[in-house]
Amino acid sequence: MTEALQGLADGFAAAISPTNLFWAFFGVVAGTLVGVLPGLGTPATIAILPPLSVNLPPAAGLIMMAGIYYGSKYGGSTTSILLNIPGEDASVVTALDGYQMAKEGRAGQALGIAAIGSFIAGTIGLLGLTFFAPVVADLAIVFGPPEYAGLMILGLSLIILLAGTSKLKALIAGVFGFLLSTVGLDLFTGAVRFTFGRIELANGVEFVALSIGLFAIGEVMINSEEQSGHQLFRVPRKMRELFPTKQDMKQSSWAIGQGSIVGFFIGALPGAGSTVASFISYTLAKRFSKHPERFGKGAIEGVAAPEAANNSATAGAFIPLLTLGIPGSASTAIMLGALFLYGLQPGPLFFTENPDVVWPIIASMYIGNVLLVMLNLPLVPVFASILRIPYYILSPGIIVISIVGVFSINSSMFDVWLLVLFGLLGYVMRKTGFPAAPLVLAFVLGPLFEQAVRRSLVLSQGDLSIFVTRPWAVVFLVCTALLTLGPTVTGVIKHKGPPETPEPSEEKEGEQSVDAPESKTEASISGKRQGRV
Amino acid sequence: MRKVDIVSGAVFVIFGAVTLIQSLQLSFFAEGVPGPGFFPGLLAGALMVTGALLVVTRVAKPEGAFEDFAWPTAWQARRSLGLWIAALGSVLLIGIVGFLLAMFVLVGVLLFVIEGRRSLSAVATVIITPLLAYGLFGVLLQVRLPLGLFGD
Repeated sequence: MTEALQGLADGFAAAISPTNLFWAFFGVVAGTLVGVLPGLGTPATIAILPPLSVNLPPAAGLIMMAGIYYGSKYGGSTTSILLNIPGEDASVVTALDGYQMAKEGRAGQALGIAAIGSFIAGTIGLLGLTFFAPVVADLAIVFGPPEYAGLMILGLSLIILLAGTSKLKALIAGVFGFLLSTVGLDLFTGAVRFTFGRIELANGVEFVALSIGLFAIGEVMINSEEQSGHQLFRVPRKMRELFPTKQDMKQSSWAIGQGSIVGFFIGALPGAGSTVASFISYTLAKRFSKHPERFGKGAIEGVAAPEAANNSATAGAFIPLLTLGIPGSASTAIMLGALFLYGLQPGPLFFTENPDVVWPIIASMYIGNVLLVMLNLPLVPVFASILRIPYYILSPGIIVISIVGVFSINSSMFDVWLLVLFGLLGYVMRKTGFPAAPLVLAFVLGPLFEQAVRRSLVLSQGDLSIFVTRPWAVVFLVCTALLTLGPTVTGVIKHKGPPETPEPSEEKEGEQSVDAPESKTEASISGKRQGRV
Repeated sequence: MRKVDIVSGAVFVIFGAVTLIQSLQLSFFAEGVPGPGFFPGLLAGALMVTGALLVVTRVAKPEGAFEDFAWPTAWQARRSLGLWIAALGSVLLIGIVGFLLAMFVLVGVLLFVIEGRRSLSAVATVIITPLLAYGLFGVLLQVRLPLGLFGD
């Protein structure tokens, strides 16, 4: 602990040098811009910068890369909230409630809580990185394929929680999303699955094309059904109405807290990533909320939880990178390459052998976190004012940015075709009451689950007991059972009590909801479930 | 909503069946562990079962048990599908005339044809939106946007 404090103090002394401060600032601004714009992701941005960074001292170069990495997580929420365009993979979940808040005239609060939540969670994640890196690294090593399989089962079971009242339709959407994720080259055997001879599908369906198509294009199509001569959203004129209130902060505190912790641990697991963290954090926030029915309809906790998780996950992701030399994502893989480029070898001795590099990077992340909140909060009214633009002007912009954003990922027109196709699918799903969130969740978790199960069975030579003989795997399975069966069991127990009045299940058409009531009967059951969680 | 659900369920059953047939071409097990066809096959089967469940539950319940399904009016359908077709057409155009021109056409169609706008702000939007996207991605972020027949 003392060693870490001393290292951090030395790190701060180095990080506040004008050069390092400049590159931290450059990194977070570039990262925010990359996060705001859909498409060209963080890994690509970090990847195109080595020519610039190799000419810098190692600490400055890595400070800049780290700045881009977590700056993009901050920026990713902006277009998710304002336009329903996930600027970054991990921001897909933020769009579920953030966009609904914007529709209700609460874009400022959503953007504000995203910035504040990101700052708090980022700081908590950094404290974890500073003081618990070796402990968490040990935990990450313990995580083998069966543990990952357990974690992914937990994640996939959350589809039921995302479903709200329409469990069957959510399940169908989830199975469809999982099936979609199997497209492409099978990493185990090299067999190609459902590519129909298209080389562009060898790497699978592009996630950004899927998420932007379902959410952004689908939304524009829904909105375009009506003449849009006016602005679609109400944007308050008063400055104080553009920021989160004390009540908003109080309401979001638990979501930010759990998001920070969940995000940090999931971020520390190689391969899991901030998208998984944000989904799990969101569904946990919904599961333990007193008003789960508000989720998907503009709940501020629905913005706070995923934003906290994806920012905390960023700090967590540095643990396996620095202490084990294992990159958990494409972005950290590129940073690992940069470390090698500088002649540095990350591993268990990295902290003790290279304190002059490690601690300034960590210290600069604290500084970058402050810079980001200083940069983002004052911009909230500016970003929110975008919604004052009449929708007939905004909607072509959304489509153009979506097209160019998706194209920019792989320079592939095929991905743009997929975007248009998924746009139509998103529209049809909305009209027919199939929620898109379970589809996207299963698409993200599906390949991780499949790989974990197959690897586990290779390890155990086909013996299924491997999933119930490893402690962490069992913990996740028990958690899955509790989370999914808990409401049913409590519902059955309460059902024996006096009858309750069912709540109405009407859902406004065009409203983006993770809940899609499929029948009055099911909706009334859900209504009874509310408040018992 | 009942009829829509029945049709949706049937579509998923058919889609699942087609996928299952496709996945039969892949090996389900390889050396005692799940092969490349295992999960797709399993999921296709699950899709068929859940789709069928949707059909059965809807058929079993009376029409009044479901909320009304609001079909889009002809006018609404023309607008939303018109937008989609315009987007589709513009993607086709990108390969021929390049990104910038295709986007001018797309925004123009959306504003002048679908929205029926004739104002100065509409004209400005048609010009500025593609240019702004090109400036951000093509110039600032150095993305090589397609030039169509005008270049590589």
